[in-house]
Amino acid sequence: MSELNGEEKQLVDWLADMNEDQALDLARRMLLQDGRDPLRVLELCRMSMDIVGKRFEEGEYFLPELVLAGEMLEQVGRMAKPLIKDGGGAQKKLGRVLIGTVHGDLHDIGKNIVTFMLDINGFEVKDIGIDVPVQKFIDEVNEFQPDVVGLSGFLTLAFDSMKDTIRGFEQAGIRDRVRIMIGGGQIDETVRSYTGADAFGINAVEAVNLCKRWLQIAA
Amino acid sequence: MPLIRAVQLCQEAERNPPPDLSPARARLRGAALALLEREELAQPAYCFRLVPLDAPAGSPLRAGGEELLADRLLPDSGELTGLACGACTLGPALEARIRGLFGDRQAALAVALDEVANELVLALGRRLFDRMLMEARRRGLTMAGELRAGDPGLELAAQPAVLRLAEAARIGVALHGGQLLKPIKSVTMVCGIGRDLPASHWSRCDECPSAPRCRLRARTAGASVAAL
Repeated sequence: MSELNGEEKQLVDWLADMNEDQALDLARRMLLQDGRDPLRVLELCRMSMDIVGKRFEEGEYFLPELVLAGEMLEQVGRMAKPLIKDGGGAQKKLGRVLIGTVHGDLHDIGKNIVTFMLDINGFEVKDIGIDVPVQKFIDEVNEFQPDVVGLSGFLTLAFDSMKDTIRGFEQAGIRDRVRIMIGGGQIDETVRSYTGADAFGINAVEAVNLCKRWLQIAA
Repeated sequence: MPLIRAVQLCQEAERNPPPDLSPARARLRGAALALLEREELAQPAYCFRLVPLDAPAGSPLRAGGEELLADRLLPDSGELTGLACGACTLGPALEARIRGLFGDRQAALAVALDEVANELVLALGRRLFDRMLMEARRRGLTMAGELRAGDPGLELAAQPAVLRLAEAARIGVALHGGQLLKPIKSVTMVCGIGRDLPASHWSRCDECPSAPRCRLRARTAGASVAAL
């Protein structure tokens, strides 16, 4: 971060250290009073998110910090985007992700977190809720035309529902149109193989990275 | 219906925060607890029954017209004479509020509220266990073992029978589709009761795949070490 001036470094540090009030006040001043380049401020946010992601991977931060960082990023983004010239306010989405909790399972906390993290990372996400029947997933794939489908489930019983859903995609002839990721609860490679999904993620960061990798977006 | 006041659970949570909380998490946790109390989101309730065995203890265990494959409850010594079956819940308002917070894009507060709700339902489960134990002792019985449907030792498929034995419908706990408890922040448990039952040498956590990263377990282990 040698290229950062004092104020910029302060913003990155405050965002990464979860000093929400100070960070947002500084971002507001930089953008609205000092007229700083909004793209530069967003770049500083990205740098802070890199630090947060690293601390998450190292076990220093947990999910709440990750989500709080996402919220701060979103708030700064909301301030910055109207100031970006040449239509920057309506930023192009990176890709479409359809996500839902499979039938028989009502858990939605993990799905909601992944939805939120994908959204603040620039994906267009359609969350179709919990206890979603196979046919509903198929109908939504046909209508929304996603690049990626995320199947969420916490219970071990959800593994069968995931398998049913993916088999339903095959029978409906839409399996090859989407990449499928699964997550939630005790998901591992054995479960991925059992369900026929393309990949699994054990947290929201992995889900975001998977989507970026599949859509060939630099993480 | 026995009553546990939400405020008691919240006060317990306030007195016993998880260790090593970052300032940001402590602030979010405080906000979640305040929201929970202000909007009275937790409506804790519990119920239980001590059910005599219909037949001498064996595999499966037969009680109250139900059959449970719970061999871990068969004691090495003493006499198993019945099952203590209980259920508890924080009610449906919490999960609706958590979902709503995500809808309002207050994800950090939603996650914090979910974490606090998990703490409260664990605390409520401990109180349920204590009350079952007290009732067993009042009847001159001992209680040993603790199984929850889905744990090693008790198939998830046993959940409907456990709910019927505990008469969980009295507190609004029911099954949704695939053995999932509704409201989600609910817990059921089954313990063995009888005469001179030895303390069980196993724990429901022994084979839990989440054990290596379980903060509750680490906390308990830390407390045990500190006590030595």
